[in-house]
Order: sequence, then C-alpha cells, then structure tokens
Amino acid sequence: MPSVKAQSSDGEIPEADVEVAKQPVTIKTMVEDLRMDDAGGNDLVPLPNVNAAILKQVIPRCTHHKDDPPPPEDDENKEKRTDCVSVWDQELLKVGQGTLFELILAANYLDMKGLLDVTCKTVANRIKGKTPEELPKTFNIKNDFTEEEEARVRKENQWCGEK
Amino acid sequence: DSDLSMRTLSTPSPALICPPNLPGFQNGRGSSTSSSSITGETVAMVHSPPPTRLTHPLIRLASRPQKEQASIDRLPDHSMVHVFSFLPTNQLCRCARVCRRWYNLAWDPRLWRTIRLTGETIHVDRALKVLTRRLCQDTPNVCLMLETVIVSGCRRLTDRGLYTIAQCCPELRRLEVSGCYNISNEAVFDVVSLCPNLEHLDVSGCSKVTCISLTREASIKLSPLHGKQISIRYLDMTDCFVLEDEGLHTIAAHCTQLTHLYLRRCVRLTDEGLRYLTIYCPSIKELSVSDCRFVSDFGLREIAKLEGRLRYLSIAHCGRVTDVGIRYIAKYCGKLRYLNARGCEGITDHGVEYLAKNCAKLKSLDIGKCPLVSDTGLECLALNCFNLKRLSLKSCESITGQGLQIVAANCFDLQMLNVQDCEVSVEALRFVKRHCKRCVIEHTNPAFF
Repeated sequence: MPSVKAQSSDGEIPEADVEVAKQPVTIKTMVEDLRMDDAGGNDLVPLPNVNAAILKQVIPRCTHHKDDPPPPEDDENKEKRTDCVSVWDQELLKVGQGTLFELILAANYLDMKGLLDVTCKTVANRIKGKTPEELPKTFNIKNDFTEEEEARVRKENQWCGEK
Repeated sequence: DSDLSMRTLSTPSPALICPPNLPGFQNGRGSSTSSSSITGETVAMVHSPPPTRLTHPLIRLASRPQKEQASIDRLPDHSMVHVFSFLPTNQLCRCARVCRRWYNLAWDPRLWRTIRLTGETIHVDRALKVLTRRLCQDTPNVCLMLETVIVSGCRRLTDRGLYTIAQCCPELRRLEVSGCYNISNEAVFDVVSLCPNLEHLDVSGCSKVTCISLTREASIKLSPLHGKQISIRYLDMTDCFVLEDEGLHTIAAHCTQLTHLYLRRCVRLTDEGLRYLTIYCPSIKELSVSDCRFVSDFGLREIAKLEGRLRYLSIAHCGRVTDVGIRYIAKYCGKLRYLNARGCEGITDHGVEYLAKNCAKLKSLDIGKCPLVSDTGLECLALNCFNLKRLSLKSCESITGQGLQIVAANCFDLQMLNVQDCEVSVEALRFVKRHCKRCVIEHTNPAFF
C-alpha cells in the first residue's frame, strides 16, 4: 500500500501510510496534483519549511488523529474554549515555546487545521492570566511604545483594574 | 516558499544536494545572524508497492539550527490573531499593552465581534465606554463589528452602560445582561430601539424590567406600515418577577417574531397574559412559564393554539394545571419534544395516557412530584413514546419497579432516568441498566450501584 517514508539524518522513521501523510493538506495537494500516490517512482515530497524535529512530532499526530472527523466550521457565536484539548495532544504540546511556535508554523505551512487549532489554544492558555508586565518577560518581547503611547494605552485599560 | 518546492519537483533529476552551509530560511525572512549548520534534514518519499526501491540521492532540505529559540515574533499576523481569538476580552486588553505589534493585533476587528465581560466588581459601565470608544476609532461613533455583548453577572451595570451600547452598536444581535439588577425599562427600550438587528436578549434577573417596547422617539419615527416591530426572537425574562399581564401584552404586540420565550418565576402572570401571547406570537417554539402559579388549564388552552410549532414547554410547579390542560396541549401540539410538568400535582394517569398517545415524538418528560401518576401511566408512555431519552419520575409515590421495567423494555434510547425518592427495587433498577445501556440513573436507593 502506498506509503510515505520520512527519513532524517539520524535514522529512519517508521513508514506512514500515505493516507496519514495526506492529512496535511499541503502534502495531500502535492501528492494528488502530481499523482504521486499511483506512480511507480520514488518521487519526493519536499518540505523545505519544516525541520526534522518538528516533522517527527507532526507525523505521529497525524497517525493518532487519522480517523478524526473533520473539524466543524467555526461557529461565530460560540465561546472559543481552550479547555478541550485532548490528553494526547496535551502531552505532545508539553514542549518549550520555541518548539510550540515551530509547530504553529509547520501547521500553517502544511495546512493542518486540527494541529493549528490545538497549538494556538495552547499558546492562548500560556497567555491567559498574565499581566502586561509578565507577558513581555514570558515571551521575550521588547516593549516599543513611546512614553506617550504607553500612557495612552494604559489609560485604555484602566477599567481592567490594573495599574 | 511553495514556489521553491514546485521548482524542485519539476526538475526530473532528483539529485539536488544543497551545500551544507545554506543558511536557514523561514517564511521569507532573511537568514539569521547566528552561524548556521544543518543539524537535521527531513525527506519524505512516496513509493508504491513493492516497497523499498532504494533511496535515490535525496533532496536535502535546509533546516534551521535547532539551538536557536523560535520567538513569538516569528508567528505571522494571522496566527497571532488566531491565538488571540481564544482570549477573553480583558486578557486581550492586557495583551494590547505589551508592544506595538500586539496592540495592533489585539484590536483586529475580527476579534471584536463579541465583548464578554465577567465579574461582580468590575466597573462595567466604564469598561463598555472605553472599549466602544476604541472600537469606534475608524468608524466615528459607531462600532460596526460588534454583534454580541455578554456582561451577565456584572452587577454594577447601570442604564448608562446599556445606553453606551445602544448608541454605538447598531449591528448588535445578541445582548446578555443576566443578573444585572440595576437595569431598568428605559435602558432596555433604548437598546431595542437603536439596535434593529437584535435577535437575542437575556434580561433574566433584571427584576426592574417590566416591559419591552420602543422609546417614544422611535415609535414616532417608524412609519405606520412598518408597524412597531421589534425583531427579537429569543427573550429570557426569567425572574423578572414584577412582569404582569399588561406588560406581556405589550411585549407580545411588539415582538411578534418570538421563537424562544422564558418567563420562569414571573409569578404575577395569569392565563390572560398567555392569551395575548398566542394572539401575537404564532411562531413560538419554546416556552417556559414554570413557577407561574396562577397559570391554569385555561392558560394551557391558549398555549395549545401554538399547535405544531411548539416543541418545548415547561409548566413546572403550575399547581392549578390538571389533566384537562394536558389534554389540550397533547391534542394540538403533537410535535412536542420536551415537556416539564414537574410538580403539577393534578396530573393523573389519564393525562399521561392522552399525552403519550398524541405526542409520540416526546424525547424528554419530567413528571416528577406528580403523585397520582402510576405504573398504568408509565405503560402508556412506554408503548407510545419510543423516542424517550430523558424521564424524570422523582418523588412519584405511585410508581413501582414494574412500571419502570415496561419503560426500559420499550424505550431503548433512554439516557437519563430520575427515580429519586421512588419506591423501586434494586432488581428493577438493574433491569433498566441491562436494557438501556446508555442510561444514567439518578436514584436514592443505597443498595444499587
């Protein structure tokens, strides 16, 4: 059965069913447009924007979620909740910030809505509850407001009850 | 970037070796300043059976050195907005203070279709003023994007806060101010008059509200042809206990498109109010008058005029209701899915029988605290209402295990059964469990688990 092999420089990764590998819409599009799944060749699916470590995490997730129904269209009226991340995904996402952002970039590039949703929710959970002083420290961001701007922005937020 | 990959594919020869020191790239940004070396490469190879024709020279993919920490700055704007879309209103405002980029992203219009504020102590009037002023920046005086405002539980809300919303949000569709007990009629009239697209209004617990109507100015402006229509479809006035029949008359006359109406514990209402309701609002699908203790069989006769549209009805604790009222509902509202008649002590097996035979689509029935309902009634239910998913018989003294078993043997879809304070044996409960695998049983029998 057609399969996808991902190989990294430090060893092989078990084969992934081409149906699993087709979950990322980008790969699916390439494979189908170029008829890779029924050709006899050793065509390659290049993924120049995804590094080895990230791909190693993405493919197992595809396998785990391969039977998931497609995610529903966003309902504008429903409150967007961050607590409905599956336990399996939670484990996957117990990673450092850098890796988490790489996963988001990979999910964007590979057009994987499910992974994108779950990674963005995870970042949102890491933002929740933090004050405007804690946030720049946590995410290593430089405050580039001028003094005037800073004062204006602070005023806009006074109702939050924060100094 | 995807251009690059397509170009690679179109060259038939698969051999493309990248020089080992190719700097990393990501999203079209320039190379990083730190020294780069390839620490990992990833290839995906697609082949069809039989497997393993050997690896050609592979396309090596340039990858970034893994040591470098990706920072949040690398996320594109649309991903940041996606992250922010999961944040509540107050956290969004905190994010706006972090840096310029976050400020601009936090105020992206797509994030401001809804304002959701919580907290008993927050100065919600001021919050609304500041937020709407900020959102009006590009469209002077109005926020065209705001469609939903939820400030339930923010007890410090006053008419001023509501007036701010009314003035700035002509596109408002949904407003929830449950528990904001300082709100009065005037503010509600302002909102309803200035927000013509309002569909969903929850003023439950706003005990000063006694009416929904247009302001005088708005009434004068509207042409006679237009009528005095308010397009609300969903209205929750639970616990607006000062509401009276005349108030309901006015509400019904203005809100003729109502589909969902909740009047729980509006204790002053009588059958007269219900008469006005059904004259003006023929489209009601869901109605609750639970704890409106003056409602009687005459009121149910009025409600029955809603006929096939009515899907959900609660008359819990309407103690004056008897089998006569139930018969009206059953006879005319054959499509009823949910009936809550808990505490309607006048209901007997005859009423239940009539209900069962006419409302075969019933999914959820609560006849708890109806002491006159016995196994006979249960049998009728079991033999007619196969779709039953939820059944409450709490404190029905006349029910025994036998009646339960007949229900269990016929209603396979049963998911919830409440038999608290009923005299039912453990064997009967086990029987139910065996036949209705998905059923959760609420009971007070210590011997059953």
